[in-house]
Amino acid sequence: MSDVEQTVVHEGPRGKIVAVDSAYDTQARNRGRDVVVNASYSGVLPARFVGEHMPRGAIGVDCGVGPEGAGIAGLWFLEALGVPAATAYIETVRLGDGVDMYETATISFVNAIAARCGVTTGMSVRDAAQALLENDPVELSPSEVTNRRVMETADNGRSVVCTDSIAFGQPEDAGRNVLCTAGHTGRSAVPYLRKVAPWGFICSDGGGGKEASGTAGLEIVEVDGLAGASVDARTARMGNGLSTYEDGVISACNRIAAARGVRVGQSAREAAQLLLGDDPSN
Amino acid sequence: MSNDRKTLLEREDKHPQEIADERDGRRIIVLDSARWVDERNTDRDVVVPASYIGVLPARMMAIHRPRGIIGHDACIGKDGAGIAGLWYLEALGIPAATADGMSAEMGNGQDLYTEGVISRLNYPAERCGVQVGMSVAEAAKLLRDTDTSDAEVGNKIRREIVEEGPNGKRTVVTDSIVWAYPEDEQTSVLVTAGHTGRSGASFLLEANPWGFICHDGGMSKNRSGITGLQTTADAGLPGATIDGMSAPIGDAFRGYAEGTISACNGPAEDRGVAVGMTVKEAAHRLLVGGDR
Repeated sequence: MSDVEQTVVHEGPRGKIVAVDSAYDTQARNRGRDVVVNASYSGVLPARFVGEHMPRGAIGVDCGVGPEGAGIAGLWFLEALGVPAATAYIETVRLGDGVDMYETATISFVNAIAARCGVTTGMSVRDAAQALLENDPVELSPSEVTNRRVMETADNGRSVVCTDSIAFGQPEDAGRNVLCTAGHTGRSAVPYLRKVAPWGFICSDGGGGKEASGTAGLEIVEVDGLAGASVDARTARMGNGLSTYEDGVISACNRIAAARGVRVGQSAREAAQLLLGDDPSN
Repeated sequence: MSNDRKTLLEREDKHPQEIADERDGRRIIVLDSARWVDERNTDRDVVVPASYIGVLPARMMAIHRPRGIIGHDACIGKDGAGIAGLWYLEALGIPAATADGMSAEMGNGQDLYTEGVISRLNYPAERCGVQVGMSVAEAAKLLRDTDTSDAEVGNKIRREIVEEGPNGKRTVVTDSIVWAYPEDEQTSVLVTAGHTGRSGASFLLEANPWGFICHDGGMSKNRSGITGLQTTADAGLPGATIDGMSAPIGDAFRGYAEGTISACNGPAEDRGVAVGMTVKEAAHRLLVGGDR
């Protein structure tokens, strides 16, 4: 285990891109300079070893994500240390072969810092490693990481907007936009829903929770005239508004949303479109 | 920044916090939302917010560096998003745990504190003595009263002998094959949790245990997650892999307790191991099978 082999696949003025077969092959000489492409899973355990040497960036493998996201959990560990990190799709990777991964694999997940370097899902590992080497991440405070994105705008001027939390709602959303967010819809969400007062909203059901507490807010805000629904937390990633919109399946909705045509079992995308419409009584 | 370009979070000035318990100047603070953790909690308080512990709420709490955090697991959900913040907080040395999603109401801090049961925890919390199945109130008191020395990156070597066999042989559970000791050579059945690909195989040959069970790494391209089974078979080393969908990669203890076998090599078959078997049963056969 003493002979650590690092294959330099690219070298520039800011550092190298090195391909290694295992996360354990990350070394002190990579600190602050090199992007390490390793053909290990990206769990917390290998992330501890990568984090010990604080490379400029790291790309590992998602190993199919697995139960409880164990195959990618190291992304969040490295994010906290300020290390931009991403994973490659297992189907595109020969496990334990770092050079092959650099040459042929595709990015599946990124942490927020890698995203700020320009790495996106679907990019080749080669391009992603280049982006991590060449780009410094844009500095953002936690409350600035809102991932706000307008998905579509209807003829009536209303838009479907994805953002990671209802707390990131903006004044322009009131009475106009359908917000797809990714916190739960329990009672603590209610003050936020009332203050933002969007034309419609889709949040997460938070996995249900005891006494359906994860969707308790849906009925509470009916008196405020707010149309809302929740997606099943097993279908969309909490904390990721885009995943709510793209992956979510509706698990509950309130009566105002139902009147606009929203139904349990619909895709969140379809439900968001329906929420853009007028209330039938108007 | 003008006020109409600020998010609701930035415009919010009230952060309701309830002091549930206090001792030696350290407090347990119960909140309905992680967003209400603030600078009052820095260094001294264990905060118990009825939020999921994803990366997003973890970021918001971590900038205030509370002493410890216990939240809600939101029934874990897709890709583990309900508990992903545990790993973010671990990297910062902040002990954190979650309560089982069906033991406490979401958004109800008081219910979480009085009724919640711990489901998942990070390594700093484990070092404070927090365990799965413990009440949230008890865990919060442990986090308040226990001082941990700062955890060093890479120092978490978990290793336990789970079964003893004939002739001094034994089954050892440890999270990675890189933590094999010289004493394991031809003596231990090692149950670990890394994949069994090309790079794992070189470690296995070097460790040369009595038998091994590693993770299949989700199989992956060209079934590369288990190519080590053939390499080790060529060396006469019996081994099997844990099905990636039956137990999380990286946690050998859950692999041993919950996993099923997805593949095995010829020498392992000779000891009675078969695909579909529980990991526990396969480990037992690897342990005793060769001495029949």
